[in-house]
Amino acid sequence: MAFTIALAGNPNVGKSTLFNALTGSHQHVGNWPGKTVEKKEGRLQLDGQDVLVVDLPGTYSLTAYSLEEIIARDYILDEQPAAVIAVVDASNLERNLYLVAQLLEMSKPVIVVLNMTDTAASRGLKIDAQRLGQALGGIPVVETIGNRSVGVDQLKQAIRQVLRNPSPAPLPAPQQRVLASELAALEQQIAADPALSQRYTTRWLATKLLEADPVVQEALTARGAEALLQQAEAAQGRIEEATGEDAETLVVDQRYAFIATVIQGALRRPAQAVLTRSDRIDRLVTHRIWGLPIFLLMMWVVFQFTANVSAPYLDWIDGFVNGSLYRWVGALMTALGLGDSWLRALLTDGIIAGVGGVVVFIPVLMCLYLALALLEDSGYMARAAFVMDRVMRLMGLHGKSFLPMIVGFGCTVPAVYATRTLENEKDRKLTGFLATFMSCGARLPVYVMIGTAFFGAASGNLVFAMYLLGIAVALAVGFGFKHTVYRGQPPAPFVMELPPYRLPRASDVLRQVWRRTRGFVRRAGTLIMTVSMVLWLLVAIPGRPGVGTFNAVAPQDSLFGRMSSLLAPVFAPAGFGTWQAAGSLVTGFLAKEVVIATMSQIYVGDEDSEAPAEAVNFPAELAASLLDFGKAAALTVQEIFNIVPRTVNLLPFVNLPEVSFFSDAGEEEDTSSLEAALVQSFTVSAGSERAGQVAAVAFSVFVLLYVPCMVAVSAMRHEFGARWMWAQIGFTLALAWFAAVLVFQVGRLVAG
Amino acid sequence: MSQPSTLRQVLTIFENTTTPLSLPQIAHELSISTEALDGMLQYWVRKGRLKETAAMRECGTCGSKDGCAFVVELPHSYELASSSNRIDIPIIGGMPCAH
Repeated sequence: MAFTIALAGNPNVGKSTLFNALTGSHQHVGNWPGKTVEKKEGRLQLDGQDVLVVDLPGTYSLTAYSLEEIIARDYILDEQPAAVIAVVDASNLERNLYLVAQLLEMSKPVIVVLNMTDTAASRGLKIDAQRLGQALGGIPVVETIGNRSVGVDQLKQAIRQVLRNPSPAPLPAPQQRVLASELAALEQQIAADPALSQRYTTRWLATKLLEADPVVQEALTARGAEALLQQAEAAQGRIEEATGEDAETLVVDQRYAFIATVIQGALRRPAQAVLTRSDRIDRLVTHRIWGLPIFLLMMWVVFQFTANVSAPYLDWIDGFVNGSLYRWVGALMTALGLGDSWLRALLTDGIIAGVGGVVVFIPVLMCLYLALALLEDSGYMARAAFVMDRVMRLMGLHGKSFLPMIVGFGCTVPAVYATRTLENEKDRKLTGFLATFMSCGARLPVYVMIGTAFFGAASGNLVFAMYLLGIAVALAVGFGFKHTVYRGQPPAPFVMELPPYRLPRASDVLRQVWRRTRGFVRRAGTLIMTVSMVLWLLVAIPGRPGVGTFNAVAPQDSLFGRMSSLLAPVFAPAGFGTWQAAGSLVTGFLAKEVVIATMSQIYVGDEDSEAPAEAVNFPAELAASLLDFGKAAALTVQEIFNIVPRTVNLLPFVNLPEVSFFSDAGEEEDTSSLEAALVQSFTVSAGSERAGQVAAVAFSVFVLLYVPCMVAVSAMRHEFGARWMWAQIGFTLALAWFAAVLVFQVGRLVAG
Repeated sequence: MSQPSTLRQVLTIFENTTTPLSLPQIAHELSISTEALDGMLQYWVRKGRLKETAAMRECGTCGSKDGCAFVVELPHSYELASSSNRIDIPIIGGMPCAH
């Protein structure tokens, strides 16, 4: 083997493609000795000469902070390849030249390969390869498009020339005077030690000593070169004293200064920066004035989509679970001779009513998860955090606090843990506290149920209002805390990477929707089923003697009814002082979906169980159910179309007609028995139908603001301690009650 | 004292800004590419002067191998590291999961 050349470069610059183009099938793949990093070697025939090409691991620099970097630089130092080919992404020249600058410090013959020149050209970048080579000290620069094998012959020609005349490029002189003199002094000292000067190039070793490279320091200690190490340490001190900057920072900055000089004559950017599509969208979406209204509009569309598009399927599942399935199970139990047994009541009034009541909201959650996944995958979520940063800071909160809050739209528990991204402990605690006011997915079914029951097609507005109110309350509470309990320094702004917008990938979006829906279903099958069974037991046990027997007692006289009745007066000022509402809120402490499961059991479970059993015609019901499914699909398409007119109609004096696939004539309002029972109960407790609507909104506000769920409370305790957890429970309960009372009392006055 | 270096100017922008910034904004101000800026930011992160926050993939409760489905993948962000308030909390499993 006559020569060895090494292939170096940043990750993802097309190094492997060039390696393959140079070596063809003459390759050997293994591991670097003692390391798990892949090592590729191949053979290149040049004028009958065998050249070994070694593909070094992709690295951004040659410091000692990653295994790849250490492997790459050790190879160059130990194996002394005849030349190093530095593969550079031409469209990302500045970043890539940092590695080239370090290779030049190693005093090795270097060939620069400008790869991906087509991408650079498409971005309007013009690189003068000849000038670049001159600026880098007269080294060869070859332009290639690796994936099309363009420029490979020219590269081989450059390798021939370098192998014939292997002379390293002259080293760039540091512009910083103190640094230059200290480097020169160290180089002299190194040159005076033959053992060191044979092993290392003097400039490289001097530079590494000033950078305090730990691997080099260790190697020199092992060689007994303490005097040199002491001199280097003294030099670092002098540099810092003279410049106010540590030596390493100066060394690194000199490299950037060198790169700036190199590209000055060799790289021409378009006179006006080329605005990508992402840049153009961002100009509007993150605009100081328009950014926030666009964010709010986006949320409005999301919740219109969530509430209305899911509604037809919600009705279909509701009809199936609480209608057909309920009757089929009842008929089956009757056929088995268990028609009047407690087991039948447990199955139908406990499990089907409780779990089924929650399961019917799967389409709602799937729509929410779909909308959130689309926003996440498109890159908009990052912009939302960016836009809200301004609002957060106006309230004295850390801009990054909104990031955990965004997580809170899915689930409060990871939102509490996401506060770990905040550095300051006070910010963490406060953000964890505020994240609980974000409407998680589990609260959504409650809003949708209340919205559908009391506001029909306008239910999306209630959902949107609740989400917005959650953010507003979080901001207001944060503002209050920041100006009282957590008074302190204004938060430091942060810098955010805004990834380019992209068309959401169907596979990623669907996987996200599936994973989140699976989590919800799993919860329905475990926690909610257990709670439903316990609740059924509490509703089946008489609350006092003489009001009935086990499984034959009116719900309000049951143990659960009696306990809930004790709490009901507390909620009377908020307009929902019934034992059912109070009981649902108590069980909702476990999980917010349980509010629905409880309501399904106690509002309608008893009525349905006492309804006369209808004859079951299984094939006819199945056929009707399938027909309803088809109708639901058509209505879903209709609702998707209607998002546009509903959004445009927000503008004043605009009234676009909505699409209607089915004639309304003869159609009855599709109201479930739970919805009807809710309307009746709230109307009675509030005093009138109008006041009942206001009470329903107050109930939603209470659900929004009080303790999120048992697991979220555990997470709070885990992260912030028991004291903070109890403070959070007490505060949110009080706040929820005051807010609900305020909404009801003021709303009743306004509504008349 | 000579003109502050580009590397130093990056830190100065962090210290002086009163509004949130994006990487392209800083790159534009310094007349460098965002990729070059990224390299500089990485340097300051390694030196402990900036703190980089990467997307969180787990919530710490269930310790699921795939990460929590409810964790939103958020972009990298950088801020000045203040040593006095810095906290380092390990992810601890063993908590009940909400899902």
